[in-house]
Amino acid sequence: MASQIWWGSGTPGTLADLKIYRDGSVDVECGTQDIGCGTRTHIALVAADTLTLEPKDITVKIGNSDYPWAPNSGGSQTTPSVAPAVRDAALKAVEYLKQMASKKLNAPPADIVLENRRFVLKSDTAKGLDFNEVVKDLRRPAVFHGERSTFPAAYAFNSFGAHFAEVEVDTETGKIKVKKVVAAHDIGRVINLLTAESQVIGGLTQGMSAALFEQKIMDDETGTMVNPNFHDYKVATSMDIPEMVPVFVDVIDDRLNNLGAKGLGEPPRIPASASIANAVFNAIGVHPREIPMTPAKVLQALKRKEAKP
Amino acid sequence: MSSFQYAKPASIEQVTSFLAKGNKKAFLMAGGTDLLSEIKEGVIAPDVVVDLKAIPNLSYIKKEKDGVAVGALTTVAELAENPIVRQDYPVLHQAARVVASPQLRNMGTVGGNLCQRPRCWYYRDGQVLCTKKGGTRCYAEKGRNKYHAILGGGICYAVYPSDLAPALIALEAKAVIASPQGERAVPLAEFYTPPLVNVRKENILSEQEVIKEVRIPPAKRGDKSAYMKFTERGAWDFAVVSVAAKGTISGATIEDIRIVCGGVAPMPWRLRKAEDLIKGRRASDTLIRQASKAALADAKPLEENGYKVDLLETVLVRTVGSLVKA
Repeated sequence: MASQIWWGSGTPGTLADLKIYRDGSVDVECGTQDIGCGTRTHIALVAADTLTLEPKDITVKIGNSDYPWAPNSGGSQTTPSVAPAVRDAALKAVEYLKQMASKKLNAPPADIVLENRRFVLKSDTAKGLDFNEVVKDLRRPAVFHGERSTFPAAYAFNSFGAHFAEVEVDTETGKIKVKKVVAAHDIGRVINLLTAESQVIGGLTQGMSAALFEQKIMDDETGTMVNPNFHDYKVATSMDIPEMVPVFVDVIDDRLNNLGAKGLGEPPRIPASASIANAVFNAIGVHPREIPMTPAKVLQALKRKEAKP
Repeated sequence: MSSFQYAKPASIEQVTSFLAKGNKKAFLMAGGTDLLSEIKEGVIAPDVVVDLKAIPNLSYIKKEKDGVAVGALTTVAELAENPIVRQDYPVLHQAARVVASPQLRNMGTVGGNLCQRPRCWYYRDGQVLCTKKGGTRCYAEKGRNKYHAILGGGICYAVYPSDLAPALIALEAKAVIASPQGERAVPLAEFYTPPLVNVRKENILSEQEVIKEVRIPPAKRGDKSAYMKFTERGAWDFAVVSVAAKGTISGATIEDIRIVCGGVAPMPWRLRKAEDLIKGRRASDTLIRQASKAALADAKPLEENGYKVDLLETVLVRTVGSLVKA
């Protein structure tokens, strides 16, 4: 077992614009990027969910520094920075559209809710207007500015996680086989389960590969790396992948931001190698002491253990 | 990558007569899985690449009166999937199915696998001029050598990585070699040569010769064989050590045995000492372990590959042991 603690609570001041057109189409613009963070997915999800639309209805525009400011992607900050800004813009849009609907329906805005693409009266749910019927009255495309809020004072914000690994060690050859890893993380609200699980599987694979195989082998005499290719620099293959079980605690902390969400960039990678190393220690009673835990190093560790009185 | 001419002969005769002209640096290519990476990495610079793939009727596995004949252009995947091979020669079946990866087995051929160049990161580095490339020293000897030879090293410590070669030598197979003068059949046990014979090459093929076929003697009743390959990861990895063993077992007695190792020496390495200690005796774990230890007393590990001696002992005990238990 090994645990992790990480920042990943996002950057206050991140901006996003949500633009609604008279034909009902929606754009979200944000100067962020998708380097594998699932940014396009979560922007569309958050905007669609707030506006009761489908993700396919949202056109996500990112990867351009002319768009509203967002931080770089690093330190697990993309989702908890960008998603709350999108949420903020979308909530403002809903309020504005409720005002418009209230005039057409001749009812106070407080009596109006948006559900299933329709503005309806709480007092008389038979009465209502479709989303498109409301937005067609916009005189021009309406832009709503969203911003990720600041943190409340006197709190620290972190993600937490723990990995549990099961390994088999062949004590005659020193070969380690990782059988199963259960990876539990507290990242607040899970915005999208598919991409979150995928991120855990990726981080675990990377950490398992580093724990067992990957090594840059340098040669002092020629001053070169002797294994500068993906055959000799060994990355795990599909044959080496264990059963992986991602688990999310899904505790929503509203003090974090308007979504209660934290980031999941580094967290699955952080305890991945260490949990395997600790499982190896648990299996053979001696630590190989460094990664990658190659057969040579495991055999060496076992000899060290034998040599002890 | 330097540019080269490309030749595509339509018959073995065209190949040998082309090679007989001998006026250009010509390299033979079958699957290309090894040759092309050697060219790309600047290890070799051919004037001509002779593509053998257009030659018809060189891909086959035939059961004949005097054994099984395997065409040189048969892919490793075809060998691995062949029911005759699986039935009669478990050692060869097991070796073929653990070669590299599915993609490489689909491209790589039997002839190419037997003629592949050795694995050593200094040899494979286009910038390093080692003995194998005409230089004056072996950089592995005192350099980074965790995968290098523990047996038979000397002026070169690169290991011979083929999985098929140890299996075929254990089966007493022969290579049918074509040259402008005709054909000759050479036992694969005599095909490979140590660095001291000619460090620039690994086998007896002259520059005018090409492997055309491999012939395996018929399987006999009581034959048992097995191949075990130890790799660090689950696929696409050369053997750190491998063992091919073929025995004639009668009851609990090993009447006859041949043991050939891969990945531990510059050529497939026969362990005659172990064979002699085991032959004709009742098999037991103790006997096999003693024989393995005795045979490996000659091992001369370098600074970083001592663990390969332990590994080889373990894999020997397991492979030979499996013949009796099977």
